[in-house]
Amino acid sequence: MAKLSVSNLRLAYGDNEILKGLSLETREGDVVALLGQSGCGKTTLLRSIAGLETPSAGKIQVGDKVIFDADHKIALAPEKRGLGLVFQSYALWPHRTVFENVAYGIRLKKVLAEEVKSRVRAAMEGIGIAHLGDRHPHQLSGGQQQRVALARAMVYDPPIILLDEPLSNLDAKLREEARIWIRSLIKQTGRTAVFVTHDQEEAMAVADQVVLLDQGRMIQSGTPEELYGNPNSLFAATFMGSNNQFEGKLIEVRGDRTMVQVGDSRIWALNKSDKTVGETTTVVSRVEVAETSETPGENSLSATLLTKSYLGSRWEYIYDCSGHQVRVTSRKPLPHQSCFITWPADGAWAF
Amino acid sequence: MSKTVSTMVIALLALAILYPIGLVVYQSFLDNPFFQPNVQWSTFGYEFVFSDPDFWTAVWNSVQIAVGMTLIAVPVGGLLAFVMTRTDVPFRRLVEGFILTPLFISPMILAFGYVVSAGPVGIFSVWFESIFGFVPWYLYSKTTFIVIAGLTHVPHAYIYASAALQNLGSDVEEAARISGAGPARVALTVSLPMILPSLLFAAVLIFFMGFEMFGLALILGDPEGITVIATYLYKLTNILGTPSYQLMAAVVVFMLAVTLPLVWIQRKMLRSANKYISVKGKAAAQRPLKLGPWRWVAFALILLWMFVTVIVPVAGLILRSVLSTWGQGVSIFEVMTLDHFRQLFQFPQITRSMVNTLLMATLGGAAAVAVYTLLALAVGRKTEGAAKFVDYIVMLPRAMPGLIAGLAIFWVFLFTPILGDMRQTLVSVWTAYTLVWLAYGLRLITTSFMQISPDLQEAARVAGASAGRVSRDITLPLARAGIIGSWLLIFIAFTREYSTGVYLLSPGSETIGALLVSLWAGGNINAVTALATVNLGFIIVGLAMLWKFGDRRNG
Repeated sequence: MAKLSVSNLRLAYGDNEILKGLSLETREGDVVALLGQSGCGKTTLLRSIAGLETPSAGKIQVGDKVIFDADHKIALAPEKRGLGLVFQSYALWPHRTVFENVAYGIRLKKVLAEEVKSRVRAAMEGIGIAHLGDRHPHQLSGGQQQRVALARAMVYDPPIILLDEPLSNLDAKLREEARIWIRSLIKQTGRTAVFVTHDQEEAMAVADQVVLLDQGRMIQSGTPEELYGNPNSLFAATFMGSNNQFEGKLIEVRGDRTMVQVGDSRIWALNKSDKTVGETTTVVSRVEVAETSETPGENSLSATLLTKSYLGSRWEYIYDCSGHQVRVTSRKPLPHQSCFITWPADGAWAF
Repeated sequence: MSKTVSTMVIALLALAILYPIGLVVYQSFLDNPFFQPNVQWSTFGYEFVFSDPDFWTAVWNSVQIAVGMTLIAVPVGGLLAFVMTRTDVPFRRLVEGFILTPLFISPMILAFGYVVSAGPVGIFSVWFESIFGFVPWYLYSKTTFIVIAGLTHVPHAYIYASAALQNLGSDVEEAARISGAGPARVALTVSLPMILPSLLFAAVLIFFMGFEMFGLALILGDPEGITVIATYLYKLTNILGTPSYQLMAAVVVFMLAVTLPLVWIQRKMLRSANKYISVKGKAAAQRPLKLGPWRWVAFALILLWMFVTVIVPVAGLILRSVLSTWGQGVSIFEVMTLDHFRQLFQFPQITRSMVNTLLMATLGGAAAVAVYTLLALAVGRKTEGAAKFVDYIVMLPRAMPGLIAGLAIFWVFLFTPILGDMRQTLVSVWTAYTLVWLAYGLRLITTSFMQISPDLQEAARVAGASAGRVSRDITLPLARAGIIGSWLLIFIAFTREYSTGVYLLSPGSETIGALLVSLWAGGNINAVTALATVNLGFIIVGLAMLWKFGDRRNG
């Protein structure tokens, strides 16, 4: 269990800058999700922490131990960092049995054979794979392989476990179970964990702290609630959840609110920018807060139905609001062809 | 492998390659062999060679032969590949296994085979004459030579063309069919242009092989005095009465000046060929083109090619090895004998050559594979710069024909005091073989390393294993099958090798290949055919092991 701190990390392949001065702090015992689109640098950041990539600048610290510091030319080899890493491909060694895979890390630490056995057994039991010890990886299902990979990364008690898209190789059903399982496993053992994902739902489900990355920079960091409920930028707002989005002219700023002209209507939103009256601004609002009504009211836009689809748990309607497509979901079918769409003023942000 | 070790390995590699080449270049600017006292800087070697009309004749012959055989081998190989991968020619599986055989037999043995089969009093010539009353070919003409060289190099073109065709997904062809193109149009406008880079690559490779050709030219060119550059070099050895190293070195430098750019072009072309492959479509199940009755014509043509390039020389050679004598009017069954094989064991140098060849192929091959593996590990651990350096430096031995590499290594052992004692041992021969097959062996090993996902190695690093530990625990065990396969291929390569040992031939370090060259020069046809047959036997054993191993791996 330890704190991870990364400061001002830079890394480039040739002219292609992957990390552009990335900083990050985690709390002890937290599960941290590195979230972003492919190519945002999240895997590179994870690999830099593991020692598999060498950044050109910056510093990485685990607890009090500096494992990388470009200024002081410190770059511990990956085997000297003592971290645990679960690969996206699991990277189980096909020529070793499950037991040997899990035992590899502690055997290298010159632990007595008896102790190796008992520790590996304990780790395998804790993770529910005790009966698989003699099998080879190709004889396991995807879910079992994932457990072996986790056991292998945790068996030697690393201060931090790193996980690279640990769920992406599982099929959809299994993935939702594995989310809960991984989170509770990590929390039980009280470890600090950093995991990479491109799936925002997965990030929120598993993590205590979500770090949103884009183009080699950190965009926002916070609890899942903060990221979802209080995005600090247009990117953060649109990356999370499903949204409706409007362009409009800023008409008035009052306190923490802004009024924006969209088509013929004016709507209120939380002010998230320092734009001044007259400038064009983008309003973002989560789909689930939008409702329809038959009469115009405060914060409403007139809408004409374009198309609808039935998704099992809900209906989804697409409306046209003066040139913007707006989505509304509902548990029950909505009767209206043309209506008004409305949402609370604190359910929208203007950037 | 730690950084220091891998740096050292790469430095040793650079030394092993640059030292012999440096020595040759150095020698080429001396007025006498380097071991003589008072040698002076001089361009005498170049002046002598470049003013020698025989040299220019040899160069012209080399160019003619290289161009001629390329013009034969590439179209025939390309067509063969198309027929084999895209049509319903009968017995495809069976034929496929035999197409590559010429690659595994040394060209010198094929040449012996042609002499005893199709020479003026060759076995097949005499049969043909007794049936038809005349022999329509003359083995020792330049045209026959070019045709033989071309046909025996067809497999080289075939390999690249068929690999490219197999990689070319049928969906790109189907797309053309759906757009309204007929099969012939598809072949001309889609398939052929897409495999053109591979064909061009094969063309440069075959031209290169023609330019450096030694064995075929030595045996088939000799009766009519057709010399090529390599045989000119061979004959130069004692032209001045004393060893004429300065002249030989000048010829070698000239050859390198031609071959090095060719190797460089090949490298560039291979890159662009691969670029094409990366845009391939999905390799779905191919629907073979129906040839109708023409499939039998195609099959007959393939059989004819195999008859001319493999069956005639090999059958003739083996047959001749069990005949006490041969000529017009001799009845085969009256002259059958195994005496030639018995006699092989009466000459100690021949017996030794067999033992040495086996040693070289097994232990020597294993040691060479160990060297290549070490190198591949060292390169794998290195940054891009070092990998690039190795990539470039490995081109140099590729540009050296075996004959030249053998000569350079011979000089290295002569020139370097501490190595002197080992000159006449198998160590020198092994060094030369390992150097000649370096690029080939390194590619085999790197290919099997590349099949190991880097994740597996990184996982071990993170779990606490040092780089050396990762090589031992992960990379080598996982690449084991590939390494054994490479060893079998090197076994075959070392067994068939002949030109590299020519200059290193000395009592105690004989190998079959080099000894055959010298026995042939002595006119001992009985021993040559018997020993060549033994060599073929070794190669067949190697091939059988390879097949068996391949089956087990697939099973």
